[in-house]
Amino acid sequence: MKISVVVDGQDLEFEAEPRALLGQVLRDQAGVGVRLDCETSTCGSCTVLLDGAPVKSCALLGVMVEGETVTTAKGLSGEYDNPAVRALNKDVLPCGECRDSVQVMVASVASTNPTSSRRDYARALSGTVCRCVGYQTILDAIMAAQAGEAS
Amino acid sequence: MTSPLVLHIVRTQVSEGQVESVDTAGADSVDGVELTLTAVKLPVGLTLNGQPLLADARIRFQGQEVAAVVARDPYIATDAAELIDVDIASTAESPVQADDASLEAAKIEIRQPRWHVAPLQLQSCLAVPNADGSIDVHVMARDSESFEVALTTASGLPPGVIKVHPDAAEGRAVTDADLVVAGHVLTVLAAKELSRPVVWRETRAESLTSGGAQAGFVAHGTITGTPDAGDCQLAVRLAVDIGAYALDGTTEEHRAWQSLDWYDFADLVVESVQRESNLPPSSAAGAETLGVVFVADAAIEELAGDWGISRDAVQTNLLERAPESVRTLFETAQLRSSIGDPGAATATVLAPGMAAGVEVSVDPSTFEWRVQQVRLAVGFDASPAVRRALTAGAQDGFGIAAMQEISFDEQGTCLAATLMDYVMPSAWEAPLVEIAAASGPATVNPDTARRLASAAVAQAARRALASHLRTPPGTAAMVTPSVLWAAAT
Repeated sequence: MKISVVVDGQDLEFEAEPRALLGQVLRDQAGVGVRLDCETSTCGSCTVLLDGAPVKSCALLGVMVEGETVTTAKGLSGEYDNPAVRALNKDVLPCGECRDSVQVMVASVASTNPTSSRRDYARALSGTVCRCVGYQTILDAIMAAQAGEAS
Repeated sequence: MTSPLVLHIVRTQVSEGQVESVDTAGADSVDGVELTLTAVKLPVGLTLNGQPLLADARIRFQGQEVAAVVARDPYIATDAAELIDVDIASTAESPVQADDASLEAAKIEIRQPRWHVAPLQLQSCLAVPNADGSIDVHVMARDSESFEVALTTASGLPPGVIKVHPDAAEGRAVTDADLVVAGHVLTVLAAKELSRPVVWRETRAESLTSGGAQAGFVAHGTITGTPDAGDCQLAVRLAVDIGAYALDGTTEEHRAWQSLDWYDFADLVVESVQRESNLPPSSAAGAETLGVVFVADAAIEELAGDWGISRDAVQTNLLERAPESVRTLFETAQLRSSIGDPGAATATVLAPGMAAGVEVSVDPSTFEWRVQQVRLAVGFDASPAVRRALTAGAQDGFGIAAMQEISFDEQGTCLAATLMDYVMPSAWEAPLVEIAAASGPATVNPDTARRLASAAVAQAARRALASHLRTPPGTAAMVTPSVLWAAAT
């Protein structure tokens, strides 16, 4: 069925396979680079913002977002652009597997409260699996960037 | 570029068997299917690591590639794949033979549940044929040159035809392995055959059953010596299942940690026994490191039983004869409990070139446990990349001890190939890791550092939980809350 969605600020209209997950629709029909890994809502790599709230795009059907606004990691600008997100570069997340999801979650937390605590970020990232560098490296980078901004 | 066609691989559901027939007629008749591939349709003689690209006779592991469908979109490809009729005669046998004659003298046996070297790294490939006959291949690879050579060889194409572009298909690089697998080769061959772009993307279930699952292994250890003479000798033999592919990672890993001096003091003899069997392709290196650390630590406990003294006394005995550098590592890594509740405990375990001190805490009402803190003392230079690897390895160690297991039946058939079963620590659960690194000539690569930290932390966590267990932790692969509960009731 045909659906209309605003993705990363772009008005898109495309055919969505009714049985397809939101992540699959974004990748395969809309041509948007969303990662899909476990497809069981476990790893979190497919996280996007749906009308500003983080969701795992493998946990929704694509046809359920008709008329809504989706923000992926590629569209984190404006209110979502902050030092904590920019700190998540290739040195911090070298393999990139969870990079998009971590960026989306951190953007969500930081845009809500720019002085969020390490515990806030750790709790927010508990739905995103990183097995490459460990969460300590990620949290260190976020807190260092946030502290740098504050000073 | 026009939308690429999608390649979908048909894999076996069994781990051992004989291919009787593969009939693609049903898939070929589906509207939108452009190509089907089986062993008999491929150019003669194409192999990858000594194995046929698509199974033509013996099935060696669950998830082995049998056929492939190339279609207009992933849904058509998936549906058509289900119409391919694969007839496999069962010849299932037990995948690991524990009664290997070379291991008869073994006293300690540890069977580590299979774990995955990189469960979040799915393979993918985009092959785009050009008008001049060349094929642009977008893959995840750190070393595009070696990947290009391997892919060219496996595809049977002349040198220069395939041009590999790393890090473009998914915008990421592989961290642990630049492994050419059948999916890459099939994608290239399909693109060449159809003169159209073809994309293949591995699914999670495919990855967990076939795309690099760490092999199960059996580690055996013997230990001899007397408490007074100071002639302790540990001998560890590892029956490392290297799966259907003959990888050489073991040799490199062997060299890497044998250059570290810890085991010298105990005259540890390590011998790897590689055997081919019918399990998935694997990286034997990680299994070997885990096996050595687990068995060596369990052997200390075994020796304590033989001598009728405490484990700590044996460890003290061994450390007294260790080089000063080793004693320093051990003492540096030791932790004192910061919690002070009855469920908290600490332990320190030595591994080649490092010591890991771990503090665990157990919730007395739920028997949930977690690693509260980790202190790693390493006897090698720790670059930022190595530090990141050590931190991640410590996190893995908690996962290995507490939650990571892929279940297989006796025939090696995976019973639950999703990350809902193969659980990994979250950011909320991950322990705080402190690293005390020496500066000196010894270096290790990040992968080795990570494996060492994983093994040492996993074993130290189990050791710290020993007071809650009825049986020695060295023989318990995973310590789940139910294991702790059973020991307490």
